[in-house]
Amino acid sequence: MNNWSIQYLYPTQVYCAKVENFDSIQDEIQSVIEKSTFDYFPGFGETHKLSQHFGPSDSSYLMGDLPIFNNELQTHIERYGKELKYYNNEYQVVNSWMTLFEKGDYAHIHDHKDTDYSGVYYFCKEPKAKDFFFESPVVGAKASAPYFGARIYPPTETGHLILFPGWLPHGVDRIETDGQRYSLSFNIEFQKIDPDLPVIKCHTK
Amino acid sequence: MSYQVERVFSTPIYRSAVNDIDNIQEQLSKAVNDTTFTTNDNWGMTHFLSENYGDVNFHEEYDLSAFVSELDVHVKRYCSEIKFPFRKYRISSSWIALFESGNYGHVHNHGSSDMSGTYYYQRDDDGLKDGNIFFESPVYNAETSLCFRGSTSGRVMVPATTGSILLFPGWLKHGIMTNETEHDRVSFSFDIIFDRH
Repeated sequence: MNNWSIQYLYPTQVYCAKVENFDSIQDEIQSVIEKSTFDYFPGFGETHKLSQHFGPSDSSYLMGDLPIFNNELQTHIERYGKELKYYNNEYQVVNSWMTLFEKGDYAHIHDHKDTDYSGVYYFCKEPKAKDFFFESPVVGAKASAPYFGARIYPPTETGHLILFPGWLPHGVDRIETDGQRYSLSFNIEFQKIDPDLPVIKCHTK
Repeated sequence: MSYQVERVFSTPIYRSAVNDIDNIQEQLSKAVNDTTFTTNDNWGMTHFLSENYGDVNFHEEYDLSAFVSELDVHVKRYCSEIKFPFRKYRISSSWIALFESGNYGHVHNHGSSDMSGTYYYQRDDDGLKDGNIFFESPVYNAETSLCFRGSTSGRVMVPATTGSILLFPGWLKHGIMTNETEHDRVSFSFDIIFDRH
C-alpha cells in the first residue's frame, strides 16, 4: 500500500515575526507606558489591566505616539497580505491599547469580532513563557474526539509581533510568575474606513 | 527580519487506493446487483440510496468482509496521522449511493459520526465528471471575512477514482457535484463511531 495521502484543508493562517527596529520600538513604547494609566476594565472583572486607550470613551490615538512601530507594522501587514493573497492599498489601525498582566492575571477567551486583522506586540514578557493561546475556530472539531483541535500556543517573546484574524478566539492563561508583562494590542481594518483616523497606504501587490 | 506564517487548525482528509481491490469489487458487485435503490422522500430527486437506508446497515446485509477488513488499515493509518490514539470502532451505518445522470448530493454532514468515509465502487474515471465530492469550510467566520475567505474558506473538490477510499470528519460539510455523464456513479458510504471506553 503506497498510494495514500492526507490533505490538510482550511488552515487558519497566523503571522509571527520578530520586529527589526527592536530598540527604537521598545523606547517608543516605554515612553507610552510611562504616561499611561492601567486599570481593570469594568465589565471584564479583575482579569488584567488595560491602558486608558481601551474602550469607546477614549478618543486618543495611541498609534500617533508610536510612529516607529507603526512604520514597521506596515511591512508586516504587507507581508501577511501576500501570504494570504489578500491585496489592498490602504488600512487603518482602528483601535489600539496597552495591556498589563501581573501575577494572577489572565484573559478570558474572546475574539475581536469582525475586525479584519488583530495583532499583538510583546513589549515585556518572561522568556519562553507560554500563556497566549488560540482556540480552534472549527466548531465541529472542538466536540470531536478524533479531530479535537485544542489550543495552540504561538511563540510569544519580548519583541515578537503576532497578526491573526479578528474572529479567531484567543485567551491568556493565568500568569503564575512575578513581574509585569506588557503588550500592545491593535485592530486593523481595510475597508471599513473611519474618516476620523489616519489611513495608511500599503503595497501588497 | 524573521517571520513565519503558521497554518493552524486545519481539517485532515484521508485518501487512498485500496489494496485488496479485486475482492472488494467482487463482493460489492454482488451486493449492488442484489439491492434496489430508491430516492429519499425528504430529499427530493437528488440521488438514489440502497433500500432501507437508515434502518439497515448495508455491510451487515451483504458480505463485505474484504472491505471491512481493509478499512481497518486505513482507519489506523488515519488515526496515526491525526494523532488520535487508535481504539476499537464500529461501522454505525452504511449504505450504497447511486448517482445517475443529472443526480447530485446536497451539502450535508453526518451528524454525530466520529469519522465518515466513502469507497468508490464505480466512477467514470475518464474526467471524473460524474460527481466529485466537495467539502465546505468548517471555519464559518472565514466565509464572511474580507481577508481570510480566500485562504480558509470555499469549496475543495477531492477527485477520487474507482477503488479509492476517503475518510473525513463526520461533522465536515460536503456535497456531491452533478453527474454530468451518462454513466452511473456508485459509491459505498459509512459512518464510524469509536469506543468511548
